[in-house]
Amino acid sequence: MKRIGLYIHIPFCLQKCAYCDFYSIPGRDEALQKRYINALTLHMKTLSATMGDRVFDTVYIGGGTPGLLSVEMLTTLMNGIKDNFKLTEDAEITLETNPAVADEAKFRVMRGLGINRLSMGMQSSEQAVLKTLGRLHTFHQFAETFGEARRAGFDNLSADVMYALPRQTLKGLLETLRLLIALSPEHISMYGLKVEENTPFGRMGERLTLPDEDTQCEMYERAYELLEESGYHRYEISNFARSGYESRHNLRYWRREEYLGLGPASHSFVDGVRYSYPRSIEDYITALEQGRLPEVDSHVTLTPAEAKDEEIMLGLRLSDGIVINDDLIEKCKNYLRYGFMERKGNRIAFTTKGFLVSNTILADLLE
Amino acid sequence: MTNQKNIRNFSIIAHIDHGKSTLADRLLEKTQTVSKREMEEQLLDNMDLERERGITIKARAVKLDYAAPDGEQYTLNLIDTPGHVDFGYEVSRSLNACEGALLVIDASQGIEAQTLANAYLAVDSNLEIVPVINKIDLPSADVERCRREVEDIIGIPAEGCPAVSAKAGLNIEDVLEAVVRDIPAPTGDPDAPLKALIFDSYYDPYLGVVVYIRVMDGTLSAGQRIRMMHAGSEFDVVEVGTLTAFGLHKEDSLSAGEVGYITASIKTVADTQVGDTVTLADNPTDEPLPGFKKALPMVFSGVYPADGSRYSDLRDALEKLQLNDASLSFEPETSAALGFGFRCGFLGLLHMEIIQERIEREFNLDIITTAPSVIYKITRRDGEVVYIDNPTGYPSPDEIEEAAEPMIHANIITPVEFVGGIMDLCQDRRGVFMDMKYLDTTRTELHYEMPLNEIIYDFFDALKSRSKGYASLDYEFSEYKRSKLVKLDILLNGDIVDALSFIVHEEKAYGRARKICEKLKENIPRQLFEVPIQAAIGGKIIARETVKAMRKDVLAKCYGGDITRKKKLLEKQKEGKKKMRQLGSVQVTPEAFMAVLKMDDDD
Repeated sequence: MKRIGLYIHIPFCLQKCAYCDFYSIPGRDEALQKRYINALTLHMKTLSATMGDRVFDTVYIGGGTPGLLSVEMLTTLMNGIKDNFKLTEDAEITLETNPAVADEAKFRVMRGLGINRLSMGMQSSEQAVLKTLGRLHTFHQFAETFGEARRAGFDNLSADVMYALPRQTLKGLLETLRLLIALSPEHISMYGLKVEENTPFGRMGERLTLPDEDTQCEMYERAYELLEESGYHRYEISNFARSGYESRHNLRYWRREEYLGLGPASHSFVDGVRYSYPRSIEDYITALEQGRLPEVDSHVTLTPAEAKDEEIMLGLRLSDGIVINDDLIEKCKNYLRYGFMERKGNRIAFTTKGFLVSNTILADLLE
Repeated sequence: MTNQKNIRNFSIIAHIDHGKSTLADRLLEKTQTVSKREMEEQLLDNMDLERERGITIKARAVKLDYAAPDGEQYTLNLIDTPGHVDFGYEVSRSLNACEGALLVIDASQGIEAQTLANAYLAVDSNLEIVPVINKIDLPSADVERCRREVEDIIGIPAEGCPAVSAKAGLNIEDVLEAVVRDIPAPTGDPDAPLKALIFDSYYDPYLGVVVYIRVMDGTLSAGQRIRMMHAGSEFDVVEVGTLTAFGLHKEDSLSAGEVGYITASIKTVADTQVGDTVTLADNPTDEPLPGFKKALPMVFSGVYPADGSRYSDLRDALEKLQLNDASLSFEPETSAALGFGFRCGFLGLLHMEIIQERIEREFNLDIITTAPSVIYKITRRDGEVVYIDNPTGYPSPDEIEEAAEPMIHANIITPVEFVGGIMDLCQDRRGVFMDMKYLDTTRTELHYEMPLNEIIYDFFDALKSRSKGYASLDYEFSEYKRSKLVKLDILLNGDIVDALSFIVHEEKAYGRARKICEKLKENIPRQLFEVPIQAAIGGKIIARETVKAMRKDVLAKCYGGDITRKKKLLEKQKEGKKKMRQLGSVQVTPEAFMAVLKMDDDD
């Protein structure tokens, strides 16, 4: 019996955020949403037989904003999953959502469908920052939605915040985190802004003023300290959790465990092969409606050397790091000496200082 | 064989861009040596680099058959000369192969520094000078002014000299007529012992070295054994002949007055030095022709492959270039910073740039060059005199009794409005003003004595920028002079980078040190640790900058299991890293070396 995770991409949101380059379609085209959910169901039906004795112990419904799907659509989707794939008893089933797209009643339905973890986009508590990001909600709405989820019975809640944002100060970030900690989520993700080319931020070029490098570093370091003090341990470069609430699905990615991705722009890693579907919902739906499998965008069978590189690149995102060998010890000698990395028993891992320059070091370590 | 009285041997001399090559093209066309259809633009300059720079690097010669209006058939040997100061000696040898020279002057520019320098060379070689005023089709052409300048400045009659447009093909017959009328036929005894001047040579993979000669006395034919009088080597002549526009044309013999080539299975151009005298081994002439000098490099620089593994490719490239260029010298050199490379000697800055460019272009090699150096003459405390062309070998201050550096005489011609700026520049480069002459109401000639090491960096560029491109420069070596020199070392993260060391005058050390540190700071990417950049004389730090440590370089987003992005990013980063040079613990882009070389005082 093999364990695997399931990722389902829901490429719908109310409005694109200024930094986001994930594949998603803004607006409320319910007809398209419906066709898409049906296509997903068809896809799952076709793949069901190919999964052999694999059991799914994590499901991640990401996006986009899957929380904006109607109760009916969510039901169809969850039934499709349960009908076609074997889920373990204790499967972690996460759904991403944003403030003000779902209320307590909808959360109750979700809970009833078996969804047991929510990941909510908070990003910041500062109104000016939220506005710059193109977020549609206020902090107040976030806190309200968070409370509704709790009342609906969710005991595993995660929130996303961002740092290194335009108009953000160190003080503002720490305030955001304090307010969030007060709500007592089980899990917190904190991502640094990366300005991507084909986004409104990317198009602003030089006009986009970000905190300087020193401030960005201080943001990460101080946030890390605050979160650790508050009982959230960093288990991955960007992820913090109360003990026992680490995201099992995301850990699959870093541990190079299998996952099946469905939907346009989704990625899969099955049987040592990495592949993805193109960023086109139309192509995806049309193929399945016509009884074909959607075409695959890239299809790479990893060589042993590539697999080894991946182990380093992905494993070093984890606070536990990777198992060390003589070759690695030699290569990391100076990083260890100057405090970019540390030994943890038979493993080696980045320190906070190392995480901040991890690209430079990884580029050096990879073959 | 042409009757000696119907031979004319001549050169064309001109300032750069005054239209020498175009005029040569027209002469070829007019004498139907090359038909218009066959005419490739500027046939004489057939190296790519020459065309781009508009200069002739190596001398060429070509035979023109001219049927004059008087009914006589003439053989005109046109000997092309390099047009740059770095090649002054080659120019003088080419001129010695002639009886006359066409002095081409741009009608809109008038006489310039190289016009004058070359005219003096021609006068020194006792040549008959025929002024040719070119570009008369330009709206700004002033033919009368040019005639006056020629008479006043050079002191030769210009009344009735040809006024032409080589570009438009105007009055080209006048030039041919003037050549026949004004330039004397060669003299020389065909029956005397052989005396022939080598004015150029090149290596051909099939023929060996092809030697260009002008026969002064005697007669030479295939099968004879020849001796190079200065080199001392002997060869059996395989072939003799004349130089046509389309290549070598075999002849039975070459006689006094004629210009042509010899092949003799010669393996290297080092055996056929320009200026050497060829004579017969069994019937030698008593005295070689005067004026032979071994071509001596004046400027030295380290040349390293950007990719260390291509060291042997670089050696091959240099060996191939040297086959055709005896003035290029190189020997292996090792740098702690740059690895294995070569110390190369060049005639001058232009020569250096040309060689570097040809290595990159013709051999597809990326190279890193160190700051050019001149040869310093050091008298040690123990009385020993040493010549140092590499800062790495410079003795420590307490071992030096006296240091001397090579000086040059610079001759600068500029429109009067730029004189002030140029005098400031020369002053700044430690120039000693000698005199100044007004060539006419608009132009001035300045004479300075300057240290060669002040002009090898960017003097020419600075001169051009201060004169909007109008000033021209010519220089020649004068003597070694005692000087207060110091060796400036650059330290990265506390370690001396040998490839960045250079010799500088004491007074300029602080300024240069500061500037280099600033430049390096701009060109050293941030590293994981702070990198101090220091400049030091002996053990004393005189300038310092710091490259702050990189603190943030991370991509930690989670893209729903999409790891290809991050992979690509890291691969790109890895590629970028490969291009860097590891200097001790510090990584430096190859551009950093260039930035140090291209220091511009005006910025």
